[in-house]
Amino acid sequence: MNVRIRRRRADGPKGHQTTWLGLLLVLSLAGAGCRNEGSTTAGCPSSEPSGTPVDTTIMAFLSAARALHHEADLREKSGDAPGAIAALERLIAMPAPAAAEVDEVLADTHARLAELRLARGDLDGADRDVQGGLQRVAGPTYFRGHLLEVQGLVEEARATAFVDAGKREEATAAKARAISLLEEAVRVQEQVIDRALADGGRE
Amino acid sequence: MTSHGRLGAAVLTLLLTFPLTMCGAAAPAEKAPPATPAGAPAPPAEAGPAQSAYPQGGYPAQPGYAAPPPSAATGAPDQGDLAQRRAAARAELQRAQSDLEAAATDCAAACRALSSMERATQHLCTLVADPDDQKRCDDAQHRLAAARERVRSSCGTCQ
Repeated sequence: MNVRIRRRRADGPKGHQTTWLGLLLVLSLAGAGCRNEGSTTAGCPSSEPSGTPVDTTIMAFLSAARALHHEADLREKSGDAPGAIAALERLIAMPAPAAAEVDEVLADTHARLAELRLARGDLDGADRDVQGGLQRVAGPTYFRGHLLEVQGLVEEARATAFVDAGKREEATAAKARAISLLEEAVRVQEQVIDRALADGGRE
Repeated sequence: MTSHGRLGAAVLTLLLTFPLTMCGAAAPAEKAPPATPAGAPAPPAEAGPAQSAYPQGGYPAQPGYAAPPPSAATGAPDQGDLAQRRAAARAELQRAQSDLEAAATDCAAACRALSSMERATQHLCTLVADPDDQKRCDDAQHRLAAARERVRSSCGTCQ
């Protein structure tokens, strides 16, 4: 399907990573801050010797995610979109530990995959990725808002494709869906901002 | 008070408290050896801890001026009070640092959400084809303007 996409790339490759790479950094620093002093552990969030201050499974997953997003960056920069998609699909296929951070990483990965597929005109694939990402995040979060935004772009592209195909009614319906999704994305991100700045300016 | 303000106040308190602590530390300890050699005349009995053989901080005593009274008489804080104030200042500094870090994180999240909001609004408004669509575009733009102002007032500019 030949699709004209009236959109600007939402984020650079780095934009996708800044969200949760910060988390990985924090977790890494937390781990680095721990040091063994004889039989005790000092400098950790939990100083109990038997404590596990950082879940190593989550750390391993986030580290792998970082590496695969980096690989996708490199492939995307060199014009190898299929290679970038393949790298991100490997991440999606990995066994994922149950953790909110992991869900956010996967939601973000789904959003990036959807954008890559959208840019290649794979609207159905992009839609599947958006749905997969939305299953990972509930409530007003940036990740959910971003997925809704991308889904709105998918419907916008679909409307354009229908117009090109002379399917007026389908185009109108797709455009209406796009507007609703983009409106919802605006509302979700508005709530995200309200929550993030709940204490801002009041002190 | 903002996080920056609280941090500044905590730092200021620490800066003011530590010199006081250092002054307190200059006083001889209870178990310090006598400053005068054996056989030398003993210092006056009324000389308190603040009038030891060691020079005191500040200007030297001038002849003809009254000697400074003992520290207890000046109402200067004792060691326990200083320790408490120092601990409180440290705790306040830690709280302020935490608040500052949280504020930076919150602003990063707000800026990221604002970018997504801007993109969504831009696309929404390019799809306007009738008055109802225009109304929805206008509503989104009003929300965006309010959010932008909120982020600007709380965080300044987004990177």
